[in-house]
Amino acid sequence: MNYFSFLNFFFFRRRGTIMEFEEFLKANIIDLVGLSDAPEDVKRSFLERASQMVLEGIVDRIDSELPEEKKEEFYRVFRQGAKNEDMQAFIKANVPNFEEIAGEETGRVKAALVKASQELKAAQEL
Amino acid sequence: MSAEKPKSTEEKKEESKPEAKKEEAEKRNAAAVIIDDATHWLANWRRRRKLEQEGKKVPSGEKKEASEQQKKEASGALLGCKLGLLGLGGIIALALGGAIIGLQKLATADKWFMKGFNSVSPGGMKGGGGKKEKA
Repeated sequence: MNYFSFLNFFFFRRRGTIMEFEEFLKANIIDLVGLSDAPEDVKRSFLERASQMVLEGIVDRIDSELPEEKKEEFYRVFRQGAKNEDMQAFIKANVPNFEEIAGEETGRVKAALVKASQELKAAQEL
Repeated sequence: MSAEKPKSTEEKKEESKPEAKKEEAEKRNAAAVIIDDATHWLANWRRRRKLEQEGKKVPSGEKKEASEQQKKEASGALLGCKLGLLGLGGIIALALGGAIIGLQKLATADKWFMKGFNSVSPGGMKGGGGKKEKA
């Protein structure tokens, strides 16, 4: 099953054509939401917030996929001042689909941001 | 003949300042609105997914707050988690920026992690991104 199927909700048009998955994933989010000519600090903070959204999505997914007994361990390992080796070891041992989760959540956030920007644009044009 | 002096570059710059400032403010506003809307959209989506997965069990306010705090800490820890040459936060920023090809080059740094990002690149996307055969 295509784990990017959620993107089917976001068939959006750009320059009069439907954007392909590949094109979408390779495009810079800053360009997609129409902020390419925004000041640098706006772009930077936008990217930081977007990255934070992805990280929250990853944590949420891990939380929902881990069995109860492992959840406690997850939150014990992933806290302030956590050691890299401990975090890596936990992911390797307990989250075998981490790559999929990270990729999917990145795509989901990207799609949600594009959707929001299109809604904003549509509202401004009214 | 007009006595008006042609405007200097400086004068023109001064004139365009309010316009540029307005545009800058609009961009700042747009960035904030986009982030807020997308955050709400994703939060609603997650709530719906959770309800579907767990039935209609709603955690108490206290439990929910503790869980949110734990999640915030965990995402903060993940942000700094080094995976090969980069932290996960940096890798995600690159992926959002569409630098998938650049990420492939880092594959040797940490194969087990980068595999996932490579899978969304041309020819490798599960279930859809591969090369199409000619008819």
